[in-house]
Amino acid sequence: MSFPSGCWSQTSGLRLRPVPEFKRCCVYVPLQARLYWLDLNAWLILELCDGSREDMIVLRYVHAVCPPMLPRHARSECRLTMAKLAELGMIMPHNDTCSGDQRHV
Amino acid sequence: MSENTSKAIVESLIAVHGPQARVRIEPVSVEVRTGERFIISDPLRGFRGQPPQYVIQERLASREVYIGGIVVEWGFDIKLDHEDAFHRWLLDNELDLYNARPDDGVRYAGTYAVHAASERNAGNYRTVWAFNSFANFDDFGAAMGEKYPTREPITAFGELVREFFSFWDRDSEAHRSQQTLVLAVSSQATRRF
Repeated sequence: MSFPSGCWSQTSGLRLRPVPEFKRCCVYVPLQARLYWLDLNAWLILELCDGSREDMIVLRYVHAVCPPMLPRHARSECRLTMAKLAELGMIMPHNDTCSGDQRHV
Repeated sequence: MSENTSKAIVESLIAVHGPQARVRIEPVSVEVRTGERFIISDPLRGFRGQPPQYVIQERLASREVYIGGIVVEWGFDIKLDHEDAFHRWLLDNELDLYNARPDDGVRYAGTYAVHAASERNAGNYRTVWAFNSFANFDDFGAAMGEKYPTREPITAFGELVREFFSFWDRDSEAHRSQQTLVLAVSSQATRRF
């Protein structure tokens, strides 16, 4: 489900409740009326979906987790996780002007 | 941007702890336990048909029969490779933890490593607290309070308990449990809601 030139944002109405003590974030997805636990990796990827292009999101993720993670592994993990987050209704692609790409990596 | 945003929190956690070995996204299983009971009123209050309260109070005071009227057991794991440091801390501080109790009716009754257990997810250690009364149970909670907004402990006891907590493994995969036990011969313990 790669969408490298498209932009990704969190879906409307998503509710995030960080639980730093457990290194997790609880996310409420209103479309499904369901709650999910996200670990640090998935939580960061969700946060990086701030209207930025997919390739920028992947780049920022690689920057945050490498090292110790290998860049090749981090890129693959980021894309797979974005696909999962999209499947669960937490993020969605759009073709509007990307809003999060002006910031430094 | 505020440092308390969800993004700032996760970035700082990853900077400190590193990324997880693999991504986990799990549905939250919501469990409604209709049989759950909470201590919201004194469970040691007597009612018709139970032994006289003075018998229970004498036994509690003498500690010859019971370790407490209310017993709380914390189950937990210790951070990886911190077991030796935790044991050293216990050796150095257990007596202080006992002596710093906020009231004579509050008792630190030891920390134990689990040698064998039928429950796999309750943690590798147990700490037992004993309380003579419901009021002591309240004292215990109050003594662990913290100042606002500095979050400093308000008592020496609270400071020791905070140090004790610092060894606990807070990772999402670590095991934890808590049990609150009330004397079987006391009144409310056998009442069902």
